[in-house]
Order: sequence, then structure tokens, then C-alpha cells
Amino acid sequence: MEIIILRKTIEYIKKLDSTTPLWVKVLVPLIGVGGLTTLAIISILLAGLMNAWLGQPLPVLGFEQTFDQPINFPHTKHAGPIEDGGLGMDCTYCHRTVAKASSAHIPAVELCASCHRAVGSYESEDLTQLRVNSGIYEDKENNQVIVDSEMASPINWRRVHRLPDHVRFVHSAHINYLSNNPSAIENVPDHINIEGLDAVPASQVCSTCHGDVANMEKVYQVEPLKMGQCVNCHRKNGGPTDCAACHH
Amino acid sequence: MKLNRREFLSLSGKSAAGAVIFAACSIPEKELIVQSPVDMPEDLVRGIDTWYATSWNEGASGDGILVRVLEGRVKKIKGNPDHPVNRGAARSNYDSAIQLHYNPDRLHDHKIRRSKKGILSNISKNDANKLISEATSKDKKIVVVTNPTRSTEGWVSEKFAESRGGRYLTYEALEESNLYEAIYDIFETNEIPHFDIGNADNVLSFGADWIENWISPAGYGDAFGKLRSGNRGFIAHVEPRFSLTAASSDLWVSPTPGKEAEIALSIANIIIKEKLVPDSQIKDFLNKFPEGKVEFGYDPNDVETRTGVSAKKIHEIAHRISKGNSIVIAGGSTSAYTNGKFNTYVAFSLNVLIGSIGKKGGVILNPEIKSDYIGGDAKPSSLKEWQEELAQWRAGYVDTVIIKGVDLAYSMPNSLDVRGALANVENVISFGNIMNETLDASDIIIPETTFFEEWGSEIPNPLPGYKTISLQQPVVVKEGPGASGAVSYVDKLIDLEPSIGSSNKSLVKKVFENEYTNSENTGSVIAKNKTSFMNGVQQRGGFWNINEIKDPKNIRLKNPFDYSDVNSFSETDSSYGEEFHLIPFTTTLMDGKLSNSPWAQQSADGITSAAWQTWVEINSNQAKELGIKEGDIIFLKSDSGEIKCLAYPHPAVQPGTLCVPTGQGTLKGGRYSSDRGSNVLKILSGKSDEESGAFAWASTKVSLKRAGGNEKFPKFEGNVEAFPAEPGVPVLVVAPGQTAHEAEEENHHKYQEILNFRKHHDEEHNDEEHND
Amino acid sequence: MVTEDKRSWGMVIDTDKCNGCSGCVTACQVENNIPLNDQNKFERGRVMSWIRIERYWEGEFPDVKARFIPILCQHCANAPCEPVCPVYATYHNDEGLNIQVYNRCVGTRYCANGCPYIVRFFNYWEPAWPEDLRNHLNPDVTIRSRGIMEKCSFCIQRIKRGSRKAKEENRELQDGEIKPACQEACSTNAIVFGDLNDPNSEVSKLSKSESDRKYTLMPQLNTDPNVVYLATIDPLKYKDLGEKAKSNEH
Repeated sequence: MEIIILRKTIEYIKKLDSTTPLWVKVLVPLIGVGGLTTLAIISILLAGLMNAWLGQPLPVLGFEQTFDQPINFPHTKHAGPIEDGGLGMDCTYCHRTVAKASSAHIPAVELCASCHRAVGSYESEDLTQLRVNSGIYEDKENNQVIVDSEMASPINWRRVHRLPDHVRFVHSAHINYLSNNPSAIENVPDHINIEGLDAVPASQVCSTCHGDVANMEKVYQVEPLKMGQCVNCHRKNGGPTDCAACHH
Repeated sequence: MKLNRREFLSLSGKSAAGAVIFAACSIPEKELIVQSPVDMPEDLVRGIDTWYATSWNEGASGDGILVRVLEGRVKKIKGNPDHPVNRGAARSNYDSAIQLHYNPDRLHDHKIRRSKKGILSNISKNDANKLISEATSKDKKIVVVTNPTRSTEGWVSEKFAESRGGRYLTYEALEESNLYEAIYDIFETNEIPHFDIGNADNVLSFGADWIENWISPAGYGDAFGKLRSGNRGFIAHVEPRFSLTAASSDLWVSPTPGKEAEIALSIANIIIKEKLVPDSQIKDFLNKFPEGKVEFGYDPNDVETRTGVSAKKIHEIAHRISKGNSIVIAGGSTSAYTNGKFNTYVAFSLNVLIGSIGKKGGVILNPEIKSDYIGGDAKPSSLKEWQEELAQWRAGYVDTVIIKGVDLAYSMPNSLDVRGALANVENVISFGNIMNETLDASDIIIPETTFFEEWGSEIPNPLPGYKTISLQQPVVVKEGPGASGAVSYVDKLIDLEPSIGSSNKSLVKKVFENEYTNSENTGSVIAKNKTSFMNGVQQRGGFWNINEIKDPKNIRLKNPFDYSDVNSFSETDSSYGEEFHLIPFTTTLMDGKLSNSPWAQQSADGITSAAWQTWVEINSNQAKELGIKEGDIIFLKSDSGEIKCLAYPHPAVQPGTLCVPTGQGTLKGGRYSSDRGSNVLKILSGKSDEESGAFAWASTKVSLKRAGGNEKFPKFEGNVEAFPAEPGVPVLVVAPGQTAHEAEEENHHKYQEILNFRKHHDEEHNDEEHND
Repeated sequence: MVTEDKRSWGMVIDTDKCNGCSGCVTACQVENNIPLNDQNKFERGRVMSWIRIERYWEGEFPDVKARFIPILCQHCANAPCEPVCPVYATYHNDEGLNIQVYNRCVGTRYCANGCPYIVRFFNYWEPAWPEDLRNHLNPDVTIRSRGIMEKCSFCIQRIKRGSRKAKEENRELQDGEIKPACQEACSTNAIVFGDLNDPNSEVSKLSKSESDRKYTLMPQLNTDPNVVYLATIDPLKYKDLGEKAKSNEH
């Protein structure tokens, strides 16, 4: 559109003859170019604003908060309820430090391989990729499996839940509180029943922020995880609302 | 519209405006990644920190440290409270070693120079190994050079040199071999004694800057804190330069350089004349000196005219150190004149007079420790030995030199012409983390591991009064960030001479396994078997046994004094004309070892608050007379060269002396050390102590020339000379027993007087103006 | 023992034990991800150093003395920096800490102008480390970006880590369990940190002892600092030992 305006402006300037007053000659190109500049500035600002907004994890305007991962890891199969064909594994089997440390811990390739060295089809592309990452190769010709830990390599997952740099979120404190105060747990999935319990295992409190991950084919973000949400929950449960509790 | 965020970003990134914005304010790509490592030991989990006990290997004192490791990275270092050498205290530059480990200029590849005039270029590890094997074959004449160390490293160096019929030498920039010589002459031991400063009532030190840099500063720092708490001890310090020790002492005495022995003898003179100590001690002491010399030759009033030190101060010191638990220590510049050994000897002999040997708060002699697989010597090779050695190199009698842990080309004075000597050695093989002048003059460069990645064992120097062996263990994986291709020095030598042992790790383990066998369930670790013993050693950072002390029956004092002339004084005694005494000193950068660490570089010097530069300290009144201002560019010229530095006048410099820090001015270094300051070590004249052959590094005379320019002086403090704004602000000074409140009151009155005086003065001044 | 919200963190610094080694300064840089101070920053007087050693001269050669004092944020109970912040980015929390909230700060620098101790530092440049050196950054501390103010936090990350650990182990926090980086690095134990509201803590004992050498900086401003100093002892204060031993009046 800008180009059309510019072209029309140039055409118009060309048509002007010496009888036209000077101020018209000066002003017309100025308006043309000026309009362009304004438009450019506005679009730059808009782009910046959109970026700043979208830079934070937030499901908005239909953008899905999920990513293609290097390996399609189905939480449904691992953590999903047994009735639905899952294995019903406890979250803390892989996210081992969630109740002990600030980070929930993304499991090492080693841990995946400890089952998948044997378990799982050799036809599956994803499992083949996992085995390559853990240094296991299938030699079809000789019907052999070669294990070479020197060849193992890390997997770079895409982060789904990301908090800004200036927030210090500590998993352990939250997990420990919620597992001792089950009434504060939110988003409880249908297949879990915690009503009336005084304490629940660590793996049943995750849903408060992460939703029903066990039933997600691909993990996506369900809660906005903005400061408002943190503060609301802290107020409700008597958590610290001092800025320095999270920002330092 | 079903776009995910990534697609949106890539779409919008296509427009030019978008590109600019996203580069500026989007999240870095790597922060969107969360990694599954191949193998994750529990202690490397995000957010959980682990503290490993090891030892700090950039100095020879064998300090025990705890290293904080988080996510497999070294983050922080603190003193190991368990370790007897530093008892939890830290040296100000411990952390700087982290930046050598993660230095952006760290070497990753082997390098080679094909011909002496060629340039260094990268070479594969295998090709380099072939060339190194050839250069170190059995028929080659080999010399091994390291920093002074008593460790597994030292043992392997010795063994390797032995296996090739070669020699093993050590070098230290501002060496203290005179200290070892003097201590041997008095105490007849090669071990530096444990100076029990923490339990002393009075400390008298000569030249040894034990608070900042001398021998074992972390341990002495802890002792300083102990001395200053409870029943507060007194510190007197004798040194021409105003070091941190001088600044923290209660009484600083600044004699003409080289005349420290006169002060010591004058103190003895007072103690003897006034009979301040028991007769037996006086007798013991006088046995050591030619008859009549001390009693009659060193009257404090005479000494005052000869050294410029007030007789009252000498009296004060004499009276103080003859009471309570007192100790006299000496070293540093006191031992580094042409009469350095004599100075040091005389100072230490005062311990005989005040009877401090073997007592709490005195000089506690250390046991002489023999340990298999630990070798080398804490005493550096003397300048005389080096002069002879370099002559051999120059004459082409040496085929291969292996250098580790010391930058010879940087730290030797011009007069030794070490580069010329290296040029005549066929193969110079150097180990190093970051480029330096010696690596630059080498034919083969081997990238070396840091002490965070390596095993080691070391006998601390000095020992804490009993047997101690510090352990160094890897705290991060060898091929971690910043370290690819690095090679262990010990493993490489073992590789070249397999008869030494199987690996560095196994040698270090053997050191402690021997202790397990010999300690018979005494000492810092008691275990049922070797494995759990080693685990205990790894947890505590070493092994020590408070029962293995020097047998008191074996404490012998060498007798009698064998210096023929007590009046032997330094060549730098008398000031002549325009010349100044040059006193070099070390800062946090040490001898340039840490100059590649920005933390060490930016650590503001305690006295001048200067950083990142080479400055010259000059007395402020003398500077005023000479018209020198702060930041003026000054050239210092000695008989072996000239350097440029920036002037920093302050009130605590002895007129006639100039003090210059070491550590800067490397010609070949990383980004943080190159192109800054100058190297004062190069212009030290190559004089040595006639008696011992030690390097007389404080015996250089320089002339001073102003270049005419002025640069902004990089310092932390403000632009005005920092005198208290009013008495006691902000540092309140009280007399013993006085409360802060009383002192504040007194200062208030003093300040009122000053104000009244000024007001009065101004009024008078105004009156005069009116009269005009 | 004192519960969390009744704590008042404070520090006692014995100037008699400070020997000016600067260990605390470097340790603070390392612990708190303070940007590297290159030579340019020294020349421009823009060095960032949450704790610093000041050296004051007394007298002239040969009777000259140097006095050292470490100065850091005094965590004043009556802090002049707090009321001037238009966005409430600096405030006092219930643990007696003067808090700086980085993500709230807009960089007006009013607080730095209000601070009589000059312990607040403004990020004039975006902090930058070469890629390799980023490995040593402390993940417990936010890296401050350009245009915001920062200052000593009493190593709040260590306070949080320590309190959390005590809570997880279901016990009270012990006195001396939490040490800020400067205290940990001080070889002479000149710095002691702890809870001033706990009558049994070392800081309380040191700051309330009657034989006291205790004083605070700029008491006339009534800032009520949580950092207490102990005066330097000079055994020769009233002794004239030199020919030129006249006190210097600058």
C-alpha cells in the first residue's frame, strides 16, 4: 500500500507545473514521505509490542503454546492412566528432583535408555532417535545391536513452560506445600481423586500449574503463569507476597 | 489462523524491520532449549549445589579450599574450614582462578613452531605427541623447569629429569631462597617454621608482607583476625615500603632499604642493655655474634641517624617484644638485598633473644616430612644457579627444555636474557592454559589442564606445625566447557616415561594409601580400608596428623654465627643523587599468573585503589618538589632497561624510594593481560646475594624521567587525597579500653577546635585583605 | 529463636580486623554476577562494587597511618532511598532488608542521589561476558540489565537458600548458618552477619556489648543502619613516637 501511495505521490509531483504555488510543491512530497514514515514507525512499534507480548508464554490470539520436539514424547503413554492405555507412571519417576530442588529435572538420556534399550519397537522413528542419542545402534545386516556410550549425545528439548529471567521459582517449596495442603491444588484431573485427603504424593499436585499433562499428547501450557496468578495463589494460601521472595 | 509461536517468529523475522527488533529484544534461542544430558549424576542437577574439598594450586602454600559446583560448572571458591593451613580463611584472589579455567583465551590445541624463526601453528595431538616423544628420547639432554612445589608434580618432574640424566630446576619471580638459607642457618631445618601469629601477643615482622602475599596469606589472615580479637596483640612491621601489612600494623618502621638488620640489632641492643629478658637467653643470643658487636655497636640513637628510624620507635618495639608471647618473622624485601641473607638471619635470631622458639605464639618448628611420590622443593633455585644453567642453554649443551607453571621469559630480568638462551635450545616444550611469553618462545605448546580438572597432592609450605598433605581432586569433568584438548602435565610425563607410574590419579592415590598404612589410625581420617580412607581424604581435602610434630629433642639451633662481618650492608644503602631505590611488590595478580583474570585485574589495590595498570608509588611531598602529579607518565630506567608507568603520589612512601607492582606488561597474553602496563621484573638489575647467590630483587636503583604526558589514573577512590573529613569519620579510632562514645566526644571537641582555628585564620586573612 | 517474619538481618564489621585485602570485594563480584569492571569504568568513576574498601590516610611520612573500612549498603531501617522511588522498586521487607526489585526499577536514579553512603550502582552499560566466562555466572542471582539500579542485597539468595533448607529439614535456622559472600571470604573474620532480633546471635552480642567500640556511619542523619561498625584500636593513640608526630589536619 505504501508503495502505491509513493507511486501516486511521484506521479502527482510530475504533473505539477510552474503555476502551482511553492508551498504545494513542498508539502505534497512531505505528506507522502511523512505518511510512510509514520506508518513505518507504527508498524515497528506494533511488531515490538507483539514480540514483547508473545515473548512471554501466554496462550493468546490462538497461538498454541506448544512445540515440535526433537522426539515426540507422549506423556499419555508414560504417565497416562492405565485404563486409557497409559502406564500410569509417577511424574517423579522422571522428574526426580521436583520435591528436592528448584528444578524439576529433565531426565537424562541414560534414564530413558534404561527402559528403551529393550522396551519399544525398533520400527518407531522416535525410539530409534532416542537410541541413537543414547549410543545404541541397530545393525540389521548382522542382526546385532551395538552399544557405544561414547557416541551418546544430549537431546535438546524445546522449553514449553518458561519464566522470565528475573523470577526465581523453586519447585520444591511449592510441591511440598501443596502435597501437605491438597485443598489448594487446582485443575485436578478427573482420574485423580484427592478429596478429603490430608496429604497427597508429589505427583498429584503438578496439575495446579501444568494441567493434566498425563493426558496431553503434546505438552502445552494451560495456565498463563503471569505474576498475577502467582500472587493470587500466594494470597489465598498465605505464601510470601514480598517482592524479594521471587525477585532477587 | 493456527500458527505456533515459532512459526510466527520466523514469519515476522522475514521483514527487515522485524529483523532489527527481534535481534534486539527477543529471547536468545538457547534459552528456549532445555537439555537432557546423556548422563546425569544426581549432584549435577540444576539448582542443587555441591561443595568439593580440594586445594588451591596457584600458590605454593597448599591452602585447602571448597569449590562450589553447580550444573557441572565451577561457581565459587571459599576456604576449607577443616584444613589446618588456612582454617577456612580465604585469599583475596582464590576466585580469580575460576576465570583462568573458563578463560575465553584458553588454549585448546597443541601448537608447534617448525623452525626457530617460524611462527606457531596448530598441530594435531597425535602429530604433536610424536614430535614430543622424539624430543624427549633417552639420548637427549633434558632440563625440566617448574614453579617451586613439593607435590606429586614435583616428584614426577624429578623422576623424569632423572630418567634422562637431566636436571630439574624451579623459578619464582620474587624469590625467597634467602629465607630458606637463613632459616637453615639458625634452626638447622629446611622446613619453614610455623609462625604462630594467632596466639602471639606481639608480632615483629621484617619485610614479609604476610597479610597480602607472603608465603601463606590465607592462614596468616586467619591468624591476624585471631590476634586482633580478645586479648589484642600488637604488630610492629619493619619494611621500607608501605605494604598492606605495614598499613595494618600498629607501628610501622621504614628504614633505608637494606638496613633492616641494623634495626634488629638495635632492638637487641636495647633488650640486652636494659636486661629485658632472662640472662640465659641473652647469652644464647650473644653466642651467635662476634664479641661486643651488638652490645656496643647499635645504640638506637646512632641507628636513628643511619637508618632514619626514630630511636623512640625502636625502644617501643624492644620493650613490647620482650614481654608476653612474641614472635619475629622476616622475609620479602628484607631478604632480597645483596645482604638479604644477613638481614633475614639477624631478624630471625631475635627469636633466640626473646625466647620464642617452640612456644605458643612463637616460632614452632615443623617436622621434616618424607612422603613417597611427593618430591620437589619449596625453595626455588637461586639466581646464581640460574645464571649457570642459562649459560649451558646458550652454549647449546641442552637439547630439550620442558617448562611448566612458570613464565620464565616474562619473569626473569633482562640481564639474564632468557629468550636468547631459549633460542639456543633445540626443543622448548611448554605447558600452559593461556598464551604467555614463555609459550611464545617455545617450539611445542601443550594445552594444560587447570587444577579444577586434575588430581594432585601437595605438602603445604609452611606446614601448620604438624604433618599435612593437601589433596587436589578434579571437581569438573576434563572435557567440560573451555577445556577441550587439555592435557595433564603429570600424565604426559608418565606417557613419555612409563616407568614412573601408571597415571597421575594412581600416584596421588598411592600417596594417601601410604598414609593409611603408616598413620596407624591416627590423624584426620580414620578408616577401615584404603578405599574408605581415600573417600575420607577426598571429603576433608587432605590428610593431617597433629601428633606428627618436630621432636623437641631434635630442635637444634645452629651455632655459632658464622658471618665474619656484622656490618655487611646492602649495595643500595646510601642514596646517591637523582637515583631512587626501586622496590617491586606483588599484588593480587601475583607474578602475572592471574593477570588473565578480570577479577584479579579489577581488584583495587589496598593502598592506591588502582587497577588494570602499572603505577609507581612516590612520596607525595617529594612528588610535589619534582612537580609530579597523579597520572603523570613516568619512565624508570635501571641498568637493565626502562619501563613506563603512571605516577601515584601518596604520603606513605619513603622519600627516595619508588614502589612498582608486578604482574602487568606481558607481551603475549590473553585479552585481559595484553597491552596494559609494564613489566617491572624485566628492569631489575641482576644482582645477587654474595653469600647465598639469591636474587637481590630489591637492590635495583632507577632514575626517574617524566615523559611529559598525563593519563587518567584508573583507580577506585575519588579525586581528593583521602584524609578523614573530620577526626574519626568514617573510621573511628579508639585507644585500648576507650569506648566509641568517648572517642567520638573527643573527636567532636577536636573538630570544633579545628573549625575555630580555621574561622580565626580566615578572619585574620580577611583582615589582612581589608588592610591592603 | 525468631520466626521468619520477625527477623532483622544485620551485620557487624570490626574495622580493627580489616586489613584491606579486598577479598570481600572480589567474593561479592563473583557471587552476585556483578558486571566486569574494565579499566574504562575505573577511569570514568563508574566502578560497580556492592562492597568496597575505603582507605583513609592519617599523618605524614614516617608517622603515617592508613585506616581501612569496608562499606556496603547499610540496610537502613529509615532508608533515604526508599521514599524517593516513584515506582516502589526499593522498599523495606519484613526481614529488615532494603530490597531492590530489578524488574520494577525504571532507572530514575533518585535512590542513588538520596543515599548518603553511595552504595547504589546504576547499570550504565548492558553487562557483557564473553561466552566462556558466562559459565561461572551464579544461576541464583538475576543478571541486571542496562538502565537499572542495583546494590548489596545481603546475599538474599543465600538467605533464601538457607531458610529453605532449614524449612525442608524441619528445623530452625541456626545463627551463623547463613553467611553472605563477603563474610565467607573475610580471612580475618572482621565481618559477622546474623539476626539482630535474636538476642543470642553473634551480631546481637557484638552490637550490644557494653565495653563497646560500636558506632554507625553518619548517625546525624538518623538512618538507623543495620550495619554496625566496631572502632579500630590504636594502642599508640596517645603516644608520641616520632620527631614529626604531629597530627595531620586536613
